[in-house]
Amino acid sequence: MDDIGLIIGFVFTLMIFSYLLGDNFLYRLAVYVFVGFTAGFIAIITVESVIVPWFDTTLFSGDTPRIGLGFIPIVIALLLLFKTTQRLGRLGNYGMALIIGVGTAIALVSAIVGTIIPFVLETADTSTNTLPNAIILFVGVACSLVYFQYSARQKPTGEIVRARPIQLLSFVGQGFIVVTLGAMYAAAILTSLTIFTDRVQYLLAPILGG
Amino acid sequence: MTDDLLPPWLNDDSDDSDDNDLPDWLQNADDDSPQSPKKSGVTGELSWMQDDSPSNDNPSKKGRASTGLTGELSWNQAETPDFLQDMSPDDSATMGYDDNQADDDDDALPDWLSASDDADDDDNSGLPAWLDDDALEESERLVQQSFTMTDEMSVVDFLDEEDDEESEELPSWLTDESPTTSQSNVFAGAVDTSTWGNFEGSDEPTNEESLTDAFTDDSWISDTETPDLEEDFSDLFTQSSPTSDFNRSDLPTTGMLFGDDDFSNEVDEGSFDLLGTPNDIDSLLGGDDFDLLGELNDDGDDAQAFDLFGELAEPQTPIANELANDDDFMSNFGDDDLFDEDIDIDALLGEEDPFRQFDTNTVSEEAEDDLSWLEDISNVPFQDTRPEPLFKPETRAKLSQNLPQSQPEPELDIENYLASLDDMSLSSITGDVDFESADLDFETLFDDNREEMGMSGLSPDAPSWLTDLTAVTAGENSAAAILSGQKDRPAEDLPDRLKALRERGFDVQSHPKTDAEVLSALMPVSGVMLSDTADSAIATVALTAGQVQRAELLRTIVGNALEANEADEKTRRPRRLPIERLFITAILLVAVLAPFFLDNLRIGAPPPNQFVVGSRQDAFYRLMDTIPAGVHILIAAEYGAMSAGELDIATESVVRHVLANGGIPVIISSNAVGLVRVDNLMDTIAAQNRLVANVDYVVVRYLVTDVVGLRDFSENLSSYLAFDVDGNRTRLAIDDLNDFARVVIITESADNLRLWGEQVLPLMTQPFLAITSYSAAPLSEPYLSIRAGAYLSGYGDSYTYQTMVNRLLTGGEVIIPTLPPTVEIIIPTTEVPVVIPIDADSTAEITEISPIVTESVVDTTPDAITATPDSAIVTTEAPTATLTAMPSATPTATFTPTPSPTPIVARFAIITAATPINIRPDPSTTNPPAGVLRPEERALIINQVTGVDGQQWYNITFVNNAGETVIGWVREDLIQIEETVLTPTPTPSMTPSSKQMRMIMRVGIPQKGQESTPEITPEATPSAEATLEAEITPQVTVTAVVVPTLPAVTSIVVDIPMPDTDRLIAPMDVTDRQARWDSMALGILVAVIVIGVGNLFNLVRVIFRKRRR
Repeated sequence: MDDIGLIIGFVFTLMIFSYLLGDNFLYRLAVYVFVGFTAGFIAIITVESVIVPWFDTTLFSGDTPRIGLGFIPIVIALLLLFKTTQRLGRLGNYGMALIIGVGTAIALVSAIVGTIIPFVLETADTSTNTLPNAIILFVGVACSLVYFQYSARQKPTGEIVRARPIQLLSFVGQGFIVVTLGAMYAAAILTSLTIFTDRVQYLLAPILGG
Repeated sequence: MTDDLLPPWLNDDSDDSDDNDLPDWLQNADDDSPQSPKKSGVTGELSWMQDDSPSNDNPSKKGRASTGLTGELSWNQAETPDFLQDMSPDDSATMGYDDNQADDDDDALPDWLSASDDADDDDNSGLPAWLDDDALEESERLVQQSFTMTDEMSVVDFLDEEDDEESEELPSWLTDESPTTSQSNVFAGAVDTSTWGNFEGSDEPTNEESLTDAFTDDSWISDTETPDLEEDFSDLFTQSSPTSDFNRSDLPTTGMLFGDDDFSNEVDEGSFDLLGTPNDIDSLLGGDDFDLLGELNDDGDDAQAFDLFGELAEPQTPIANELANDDDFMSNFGDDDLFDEDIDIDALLGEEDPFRQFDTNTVSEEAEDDLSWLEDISNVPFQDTRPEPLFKPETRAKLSQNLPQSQPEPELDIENYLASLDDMSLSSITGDVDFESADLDFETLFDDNREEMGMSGLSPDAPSWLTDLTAVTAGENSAAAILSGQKDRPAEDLPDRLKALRERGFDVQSHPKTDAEVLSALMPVSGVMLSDTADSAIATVALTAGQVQRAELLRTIVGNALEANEADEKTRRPRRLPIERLFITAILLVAVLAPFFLDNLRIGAPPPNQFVVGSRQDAFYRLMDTIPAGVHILIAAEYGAMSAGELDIATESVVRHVLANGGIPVIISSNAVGLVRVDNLMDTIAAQNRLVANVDYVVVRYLVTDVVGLRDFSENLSSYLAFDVDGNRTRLAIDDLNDFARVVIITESADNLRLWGEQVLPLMTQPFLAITSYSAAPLSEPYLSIRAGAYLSGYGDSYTYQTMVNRLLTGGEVIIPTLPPTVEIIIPTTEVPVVIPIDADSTAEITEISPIVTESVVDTTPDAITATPDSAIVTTEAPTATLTAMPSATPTATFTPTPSPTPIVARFAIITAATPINIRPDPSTTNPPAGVLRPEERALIINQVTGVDGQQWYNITFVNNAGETVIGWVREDLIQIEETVLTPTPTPSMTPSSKQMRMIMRVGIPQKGQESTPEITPEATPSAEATLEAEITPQVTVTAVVVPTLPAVTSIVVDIPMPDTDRLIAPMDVTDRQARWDSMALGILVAVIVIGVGNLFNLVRVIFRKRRR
């Protein structure tokens, strides 16, 4: 069985690599299979580890409060199903409102408490950084933020320009952003090569006897 | 805008209640009147008809207002007004107002007009003074007089003539009732001022209230210069010219009226203050204070009998008189070319036929005088904002007659229109309709000759809406002006995608399609229509080559049915092999594959075998290595199949490390595929090490939804951990995040890491560790440096971590990290304030510690342990340190059925050389040796690579004579490899495990001067008894290293790694790991070279291309 899996993996890896020659049937077939399997995995795992246990602990628990509690998500889920119809689609808005509202609230509060405030404090904190690092950190953050401000005035000629100080800070911020994006791009190449070598190793293992 | 230029009473910002801003004659206006100046800016101009009680002392203002209104409206409407049709002399007396109509609808009348019918005769307060009964009677009487101005009396004289007496009368030209006055020309070269009014009289005023006085009285003009009126209608046409200097040039020319260039220039320069707002077209047409169109289009006000054009038709104003008598002007209106000049009056007035009131015959008959100064009327640069009508009106009527009458009125959209074309029989009308002369002018649709239309500055390809805006836009601050000022970028600056589109456009232009193809693309009617009706409207359309090309380009961009035919042609076109792509791919592939076949292809050194002390990686390892036995470690495998090649090695290392330390990994993931992969990985590890799912490890359920699910997980742990990935119950009794000794996030995405940091991290106090991929590192590291402090990034760190874990698993060789030269080491001489990491299992307090201690510990080898649950750790150490270690661990005893041991193959290197050999720090002889091994000595092999010399180098570790652990490299020709199969003694998994005992021992290591009183209260009752006592005297240097990045530990106490483990976890397979690393390094190098050369090539190509141009 392992050998079969190895061979199938070998073949599909080559099919994916065939994209180097351009979009072709083999590549698309491999992608379709991958997407299909992924969807299947998600469905199975969701049913097995989420839905069925949830039914067991609520509706089939025999505990009346739990059963009642279990109906609430079911009702909301059924309302979401109405989104597929044009006439009754507005009923699904209640479910969507709950999901989006709760999700947004959680994300917003957590982002403020968990990310923004710590980052601001870290940026302003010079005790954990040396002075040059603190300066670079502060300048980088401030100038990058300035780069994304869009207030400007319009000249009589119609040209829209920003004030000179803002232009200067924006230029510096642009430099930081370029460095950041460059680092991200380089990191993406590293990851790609890592994955690629892993696949190459996988492909060469049968040949080299590893 | 230019509100400052507005008169205060027209300014938006002016307080409505501030009547002081209003001219005096407007201050008494009724606010409720629809003509209230506070509701409509035009009311000011029209106030002479609307004001309830105009000031009696300023009758001249009314005349002035009339003048301003004339110019303004003529400019706006740009067509022959009603005064050319309503030339009835009878109407002039009532200013085009029909008394009968007024009687019928008094409500719509101005108050003063309606009041004039009903009110008492004596009550003339609502009337303008010049309409007062007395005045009217007097005027009627005086009008009978034959008053003739002398030829020498110019209009300027008429205007300049002073009369200090305040006149309440209109200028006489407003009172003129003679129809012949319409024939007069006031401003013609030799102005015959007698034609201003068909009246005769002397220059001397005969009566104070005489209207004839008004004719010679220019006080109605001079009054406009009074301070309270200087911003009034006198400024509508002249901003700076005093009325006393009034001359013909001060009056609006026809160009001004109809928007010729002169007028535009004046507007642009601000020298012409139309309505006091030279650049404010909004206030002119659509402003709140000026709703001229609303006034004019208000159907309900028709009954007001304010026949504006009829009013203007009367030669009561010089301008109207001029216009009415200019036959050139009229002929221009009658010229069809003028229609072709696209006067968009219907867009302004909302009328279907802007010329419906225009009777060219009448005009030509009545306009006999020649006004040369109006000759330039034909150059009026109007821009049509309407699409050119497809058919002439008669043709349209014919088409309408052929439409099925029974059908409901279709909506006015293009689909219905085309459908109607399908339904009707065009053949029935083609015989009658001359389509050749129809307005099937596609040229106007594609006309790019906007310069001739006065659209200078616009690109020929500028959209029509922009040209339309430009036509009506004044000033440079409008959106249209800004857009029109934009310059096209050079083609070289375009993105590649747009360049390709541009080149494709050129290709299309080089292959123009036939008219039929283009027409079928533009107008998807049935093929029958196209083929059978050769004389149909569409068939008569003749497209130029440029139009065909543009249509083809448009069709190519948007795509339509014809695309299929082109697609067929493309399929027949041979596919071009991507040579460049294949070449680069081949180079990269060779670079990546070569290290697997050639050992000499090595770029740089492999990752180090251990982390630098004090680094974040080192902190990660230590925090993982100090996991107490029996505790749960939460591992989040947040990556999918794509990043598995990079992160699987880290996940496996973490899991094995936890298992080796006696911990219980609890694995969760919000990535379903990742969860499946980890489950498979755990199955492999469990099969290899005889582990039991949900006992030795747990793969819990799928974590659905990102933010909400994660928050729910952190708040309701027990429900999430109740089931595993297969839906089985896990029996985990964890309801608090702090029950996990560590939380490890392994992720491919910085967003996932952020979510965990936001939702989970704030709720826990235990160490938060992370492993990220290379791609996630740049965005993760700032976050982790703040919130975690201990993390690994990318394959390189995972490589080293795997080496360290493997070393631990293959025998737990003691590793004393080498101190990097850049790390500042603090070696206390006497006392070191050490803070012991406080975990869930122990609470210890060390008050004093010496840097160098001599200790004795009890060797608790697993197979020798016969520990009892309350087995005390016998310490035979003399140092008496005050130490109180109170482990609070209450692990549950877990007995695992006796497993069959997994054999472990350990390889040892035996020195075969006759003389001592050097142990190198790297697989080469370049650097100074790190140690020395004598013949026949043995060292444990932990890794194997091919050196730059092509020989195999083995990474070995051993303890030298000084007791130091040395890690180094030895060449293959100097050693002999000996493999030893280690079969660990099967021992039941018990709690406290030996690892925990080891931890206890660490805590309980008595320091000099300390007194150890450890308390262990395990609940388990394993049948083991620790009876071994071993006394060792290691020379351990306890150093406290400042680790600034550690979040939870202010200083690190370097422990002595214990070589023994009770749970034997097999090491990981590292086959070809070195080759893979070399492959990565070489691949990166080649990628950098390819990118650099590619950029250089493109740069050179661009330079040469520019030079060619």
